[in-house]
Amino acid sequence: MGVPATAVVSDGDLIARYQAGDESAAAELVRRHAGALARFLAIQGAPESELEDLVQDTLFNAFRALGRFRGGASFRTWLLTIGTNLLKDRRRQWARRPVIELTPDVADPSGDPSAVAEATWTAQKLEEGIGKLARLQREVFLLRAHQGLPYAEIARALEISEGAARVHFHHAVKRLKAWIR
Amino acid sequence: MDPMSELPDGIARALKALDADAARREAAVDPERVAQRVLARLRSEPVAPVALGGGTHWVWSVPRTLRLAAALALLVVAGAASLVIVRGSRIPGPAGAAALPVAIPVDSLSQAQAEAVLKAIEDVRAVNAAAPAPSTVSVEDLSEPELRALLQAMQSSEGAL
Repeated sequence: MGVPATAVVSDGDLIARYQAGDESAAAELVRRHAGALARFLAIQGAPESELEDLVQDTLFNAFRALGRFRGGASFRTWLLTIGTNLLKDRRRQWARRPVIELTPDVADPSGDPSAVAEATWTAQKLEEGIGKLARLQREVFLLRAHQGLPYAEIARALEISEGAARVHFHHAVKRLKAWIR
Repeated sequence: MDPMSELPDGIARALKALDADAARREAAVDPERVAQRVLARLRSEPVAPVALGGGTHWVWSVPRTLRLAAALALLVVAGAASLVIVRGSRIPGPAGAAALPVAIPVDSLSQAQAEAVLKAIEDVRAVNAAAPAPSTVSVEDLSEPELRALLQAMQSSEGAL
């Protein structure tokens, strides 16, 4: 006898259930998106020691602001933009206290030390370069290149036109290319 | 179209390497623990500052103690205002006192007893000036010292007769 397939509840349904008072729906949303959010913040250079707190704060803020979620972009995209802004605010706070710069720990499957060193160097340069981009360039670049989102979705999330999203991506890539070279 | 294919090779490789590192860091985040903490905060912090896309928007959170203090202050101010209104509309003097609906029928008192009762009430009011009695007072409205004074006055007036 086969096990009945579990119906996947959409984010929209979970949000509606949470707004109706079902806490388990909020927990499910957190389980569903916490990992992707953490990875998205990590690729922007969020320190490992702060990562879980950042994820937690982002999700908490998102639930508190659910009334303003219009559903133009997906819940995840909305979360990622909230997280990015929170990270930016935290960076300002961290800038006022001494921090230890961490080099990305990049492993290379070939095990070739020179390849590992090169990969580490380019990853570090890219991380620096991403940090130097203008806000919209950085967000468009990461949502497109890292999350693989279509321009239309990015445009809705950032409240810009699709054409503007394409232009920001183009400029971001150009600047990163020059930075890494 | 794969977004990675839009990237120059160097950037694509670096992004992959960076993503591998991000994945390692992601593994340190426990979604279940995050869920429990977020739920706990949602229960204990009804309103909080919210950072949204496009900048930080502050939704003011008033601590519960502050809200309680504000409610108490409002009660005190409202009470004081009511007192001023009551004082302003009160009928002063013996006319007010003569209208006291006390449990003892006034017409059953002798003139001396009635005068003693009135005097006792005036004395109590003078002593207790900070909280003057309202214009219509029943025995239930009198405080313990006022009742004692009233009884003493009645006993002494009976003794005098």
